[in-house]
Amino acid sequence: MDPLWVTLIKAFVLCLVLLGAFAYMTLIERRILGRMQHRHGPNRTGPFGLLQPIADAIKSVFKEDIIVTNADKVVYVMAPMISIIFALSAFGAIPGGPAGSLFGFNPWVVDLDIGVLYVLAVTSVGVYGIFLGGWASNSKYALLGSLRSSAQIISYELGLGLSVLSVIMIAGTLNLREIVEVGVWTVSPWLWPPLAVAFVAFVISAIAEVNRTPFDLPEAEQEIVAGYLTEYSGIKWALYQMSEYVNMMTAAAFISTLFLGGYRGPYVLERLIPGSSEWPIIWLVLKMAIFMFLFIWLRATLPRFRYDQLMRFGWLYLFEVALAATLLTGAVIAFVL
Amino acid sequence: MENYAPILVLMAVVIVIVGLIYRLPALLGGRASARERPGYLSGAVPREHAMSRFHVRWYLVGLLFLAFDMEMVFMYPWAVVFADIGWMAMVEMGMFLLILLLGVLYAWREGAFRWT
Amino acid sequence: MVTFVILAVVSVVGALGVVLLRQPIHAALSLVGTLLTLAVLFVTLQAHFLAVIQVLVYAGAIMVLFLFVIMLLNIEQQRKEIRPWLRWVAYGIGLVAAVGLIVGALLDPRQAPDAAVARAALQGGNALLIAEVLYFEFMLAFQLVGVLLLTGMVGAVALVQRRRPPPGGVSAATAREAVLTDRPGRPSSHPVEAGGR
Repeated sequence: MDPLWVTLIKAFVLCLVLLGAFAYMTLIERRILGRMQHRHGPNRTGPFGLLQPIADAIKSVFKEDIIVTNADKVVYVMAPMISIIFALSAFGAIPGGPAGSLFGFNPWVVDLDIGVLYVLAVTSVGVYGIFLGGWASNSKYALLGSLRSSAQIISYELGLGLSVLSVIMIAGTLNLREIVEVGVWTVSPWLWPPLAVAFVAFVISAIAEVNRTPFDLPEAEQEIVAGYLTEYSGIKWALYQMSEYVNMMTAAAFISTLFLGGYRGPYVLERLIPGSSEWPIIWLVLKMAIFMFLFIWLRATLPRFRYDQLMRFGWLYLFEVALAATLLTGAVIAFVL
Repeated sequence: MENYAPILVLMAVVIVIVGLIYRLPALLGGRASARERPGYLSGAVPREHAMSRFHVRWYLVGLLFLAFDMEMVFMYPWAVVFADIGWMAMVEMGMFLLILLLGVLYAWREGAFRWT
Repeated sequence: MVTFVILAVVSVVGALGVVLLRQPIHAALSLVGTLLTLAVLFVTLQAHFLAVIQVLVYAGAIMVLFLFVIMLLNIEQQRKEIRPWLRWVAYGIGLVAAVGLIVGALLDPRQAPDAAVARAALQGGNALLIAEVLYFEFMLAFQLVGVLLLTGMVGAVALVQRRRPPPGGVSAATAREAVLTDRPGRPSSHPVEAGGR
């Protein structure tokens, strides 16, 4: 294990990188959405609009910080902090490479025996940020948004938690690094069908967990203005946005780690350039980029669910499918292997 | 504890950074003007607390989630040891799940997921 | 030891907050704080699995349910106390219980096990060991937990769902009317509308 001061530095770097990535993800998202809708997107601030995130950051710092008169002030101020603190903390458990590959240090902040559960638990606490934000605002729209959001998040957490089980059963461990090292797809071809089902269920639940289209009902602007964000402005609003994007990145990294071999490079490249799959960070970031693009792509493509459809889909289909994938994995392990 | 000290370090760093960001507007920008700011209600003035009406069905969602969250938690240790125990574990968990699925079927029949 | 004292103080302060704060949501938040501190306490005992479960189930699920229930309270009505003397009865009972607990703890001849012993007994509290005990020794209990959860679910659904129209004969419109006007002989199964706030 690394000494504590190294952990300290890694934690700082991780936070700053995530915040920087958030800023530029907003730009990338707007540019890609622009392209997909036959327009330019922000391209005036700096070359290719590269200074746009900085302009946005400055703006959100200097905007007036409105607090609703009848709001519950303490909770109102605390809610965005809860959201972002737990969003940032979750990412630390994701391994970025093999042990000792990052200048002799480990490319992760924490390595836990129960890494899978840690990420799930910490992100599940993040729901308070949204719930309390909407409640404290004392505004109908904010309240509706936060209720919808918390009901959605807890409903899809089941799909998320259950579809992980297939991976855990195959790997026989809850440690994220060991799961990557086992390589769930390499165990047996018999396991591919249940794994594929679990993978799809997991990706769908993850999208719902981070409130992205087509599951972005909490901020459905045509119905409830901006949902739980309605009464927030300035830096508090920015922090909520930040936690949404950080959660997206955590989700992307979590999916890659569980299902797509995490920090390991592609097999073909390993044959061409021996040792390439040992490179830290880069493969994880590439895999995350694929999912980030997928999230943006879906936003440009799919319409939003209706609320009853959302609940029915989560409880009656996703949940059962994830369960079936788990049992199928179990059957294959018990009877075929 | 030793393995877990990094979590505390990470949390502390996160809290410090978030706290700094939170203080930025107060350090750089001006103060908010002291005006009456009612909650947004599409132009109308809110007369009651936003919380005045609340549908009981959210409670149902919460409780169903709690039941299945418990089930999920039981399944994690099960999944870890599954490969060692084999089909016995399968039967046991199958029974457990069957009992819980009865609950889902009942909720479904009663229209708990209809949401209209 | 220092860690324990800090954590114990924080968790007790959180627990006091639950009791003393006026606003139900603040009390619930205070409880979340206590639960998270307890999770850290489990970590110091090397019961890692338990710690995460504590966060996942208590802080993640049970407290969300609590919050939903608190939302059912009317925030303006709950200011006035219905039976002021109950408060003093509660104080009395609390005091007696606290004194009894402290006296009982002081009189108890057993020594608290050493931290190392506790660790050895818990053996890391990891998922593997829990599974071995849970799925063999306590198999029946495990299945009974399933029945318990089923009971909870059925109870919640039965409480919350409106009565469905009786099969055959009654059209949807009359059934809706019956629910809306709450005719005698058709007790509303809807607690909020039945004034069950």
